[in-house]
Amino acid sequence: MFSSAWWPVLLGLAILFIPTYIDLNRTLWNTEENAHGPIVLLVVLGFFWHKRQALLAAPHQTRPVMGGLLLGLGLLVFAFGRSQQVMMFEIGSEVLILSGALLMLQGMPALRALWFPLFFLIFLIPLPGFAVDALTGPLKQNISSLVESILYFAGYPIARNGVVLSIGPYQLLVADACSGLNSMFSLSAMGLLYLYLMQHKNVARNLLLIASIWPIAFLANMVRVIALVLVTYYLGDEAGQGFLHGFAGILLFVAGLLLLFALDALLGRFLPDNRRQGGAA
Amino acid sequence: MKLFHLKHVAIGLAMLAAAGLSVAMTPTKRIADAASAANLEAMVPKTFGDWKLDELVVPLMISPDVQAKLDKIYNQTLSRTYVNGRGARVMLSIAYGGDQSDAMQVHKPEVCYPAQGFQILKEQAGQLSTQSGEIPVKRIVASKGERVEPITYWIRVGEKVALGAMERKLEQVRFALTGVIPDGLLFRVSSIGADEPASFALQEDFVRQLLPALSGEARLSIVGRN
Repeated sequence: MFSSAWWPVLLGLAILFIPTYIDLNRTLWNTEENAHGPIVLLVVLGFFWHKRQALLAAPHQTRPVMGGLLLGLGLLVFAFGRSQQVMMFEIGSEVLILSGALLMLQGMPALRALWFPLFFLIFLIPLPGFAVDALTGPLKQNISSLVESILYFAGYPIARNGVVLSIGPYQLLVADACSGLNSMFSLSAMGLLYLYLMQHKNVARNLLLIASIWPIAFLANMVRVIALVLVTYYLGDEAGQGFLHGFAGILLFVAGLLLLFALDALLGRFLPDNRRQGGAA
Repeated sequence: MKLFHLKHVAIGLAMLAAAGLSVAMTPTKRIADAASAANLEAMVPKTFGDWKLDELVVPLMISPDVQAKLDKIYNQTLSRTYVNGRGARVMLSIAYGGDQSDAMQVHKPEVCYPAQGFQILKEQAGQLSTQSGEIPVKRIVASKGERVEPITYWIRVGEKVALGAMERKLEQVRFALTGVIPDGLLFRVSSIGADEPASFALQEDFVRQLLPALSGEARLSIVGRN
């Protein structure tokens, strides 16, 4: 019954989005900023598979009008985004289209069961240019001046001019990529995924953790920049720009996640889950 | 039971229709086909005002492997060095793209200079005032070892100079909704010298003298309807 009923929808989705994902795979996913894309997609697919019961169950509380409107809007947004190469619309439309179709076919309970993967799709959308432009500059400024103060107090011969740091004989530019914006975005995705999987019942704990994701990403990035400055200072320019540069990026991400886990464990001591029963989330 | 299947089929069909709509809405006609594609070499005079061509110095270009990847028919580049009466040199580089997407990206100084070992020390948005109005420009300072190179550039998309990515997108969409892919042009002048204000002033003088010396069509291609 499942296969015969759902195949037109699945086929429709494939026609809409397989070209999009092929394009993404050729272009954006190869950039450092959006390298988390394939992981996000896998997570979303995994969740849909995991919650497939919601798709197979008998329809309940369907919302044909609202669902239809959402679906229609989503399809228009898709057509516009795809034809005009506006990634935000092309990929963002997926959330509307899936939610609309779910509401029409399966109803509210199915939408509620699948809210997280639907929400998680947002992380597939590349950060829009204007947001990147607006955030990168101030972040870079803050990072450079903090790194300068910290290393200065630690006794290093460091000076700063704008976003250029001079340490010993070397000059280092705090580039756009060092702003940590990318890691904030991907760490947000992974942090929220972690929280959803943990299913903490304590609201305060969840809110504190969500609020701490960005500061943690910022801190981890600062540590990365300090590490790179010191590597350059002790080992020379080549070391700071070469393999270690890329490695520090990965380290930053892992360190950020570990910090978040540690904070969660710590919070767990003060704000334990008072699990009454393991009901559905 | 039958009804639900009908719904599924209807949704599938709606999706198919949206896919068709997106194909129909995708612009296919290049503006570069309609208007004769710009001929940069002929467009920019070799002498104007106080400036004349200096054959000795070649400005920094994008690397050959990147150049090779670009669509040859719709993408042109011009790079020249000019010298004025007082012996000051300005390097001019123009990149024209029939579909203004990939080409503009690789020629952007923020991408092109670091790719060849330069560091970008400063970047700032500003205005360059000319007889025919203000041009929104970006001024950046690149350096490599001892060489400090202040750069002024702007990008024209469709009919206007647009500095921000958002602005360029809007202009592109404005054209695309009429089924046309707009062309684009990146105009860059730079000079070597650590005195940034002096270099930027020199570049401004170059542009101010160049624009009146252009034909109406060439000016349209370089600064749009600014």
